[in-house]
Amino acid sequence: MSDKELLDEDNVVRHVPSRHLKSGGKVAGAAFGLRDDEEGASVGWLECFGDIGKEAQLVEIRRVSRLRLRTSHRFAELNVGKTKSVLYHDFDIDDVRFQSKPLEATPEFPPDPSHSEIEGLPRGNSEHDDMIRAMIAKTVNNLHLAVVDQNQES
Amino acid sequence: MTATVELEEVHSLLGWTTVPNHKPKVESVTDEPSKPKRHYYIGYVKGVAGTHATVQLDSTFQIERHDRFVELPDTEKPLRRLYQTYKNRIEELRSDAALDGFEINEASERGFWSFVYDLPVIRNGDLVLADNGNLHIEWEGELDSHLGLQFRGDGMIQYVIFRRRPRSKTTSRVAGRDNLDGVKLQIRNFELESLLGVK
Repeated sequence: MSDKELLDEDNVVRHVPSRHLKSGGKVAGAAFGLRDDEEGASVGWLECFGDIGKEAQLVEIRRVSRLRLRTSHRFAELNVGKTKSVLYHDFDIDDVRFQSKPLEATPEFPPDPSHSEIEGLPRGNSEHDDMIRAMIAKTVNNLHLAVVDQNQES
Repeated sequence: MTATVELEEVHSLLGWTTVPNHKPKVESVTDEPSKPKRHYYIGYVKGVAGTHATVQLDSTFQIERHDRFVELPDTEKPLRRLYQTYKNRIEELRSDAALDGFEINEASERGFWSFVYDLPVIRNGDLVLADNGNLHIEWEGELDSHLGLQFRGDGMIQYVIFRRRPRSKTTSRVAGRDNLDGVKLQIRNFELESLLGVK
């Protein structure tokens, strides 16, 4: 499996814990802050599983996820082109890339061909960083359940 | 026995600011005689909008513990409900953070309560917790208006404002960092009072 840059028409989902969720099915900018162990913001690339329909793609995303998913968590869906366009037109940021970074199988987890990263996001805690994250949050198209069946909670 | 605590110092540590015609005041400050090896000062502080607090300071005037309370008359039920909503949400956030092994920054939480007590905001904002432990609150309204505040815990508030005026096609975007009074000024300058439901 090799790295490649995702296309504008591709879509990804970002895992969002309940502490980053707002009312009305919206996501706060804090969801796009980089976690300590992240180089880029980890996302799952939906189309890597083929043209099997959104729900089936999400089933695969949940199956290969290495995160502890809870019923209160969600997956926030972003369109690559839309998010990059907002960052470019509103902030003149042209070095954000959505990069496919598939993960090999480990003794604990199956391979994750969907794993990708949004590279070039701010890591700091400045007011400007807050603004960029708030704008990315506004490009979220949909929220999906991270866990469909409570018995599947990891 | 009454200790000599500078009252302004207590207000400053609590993050309270003076508002016109309603200056918070320390009603009483006493030593705690049962703690002979260290000086504890316990004060009862009265603030705006029926808020009051008990404060425990150590000998270096650092807050060891404080509890803030709100006593509002029946005419202020919406505000009371809102405070309860925030209190519940903070407990949810605290539990969620604990599951992932971190805590709410206590100084950030104090900054948040100072903001909501000092500015009579009655429209519920979305309270979230960033992974650095700081509380953020966001309001969104018509014409893409947006106010996001991050309580940094050092007395400063980081703000993000999106605002499009009626009949304008462009949205102004501003981000900055200021103290409570400075943020209030920005809210006025950008005419965001209705977004927050400020009375």
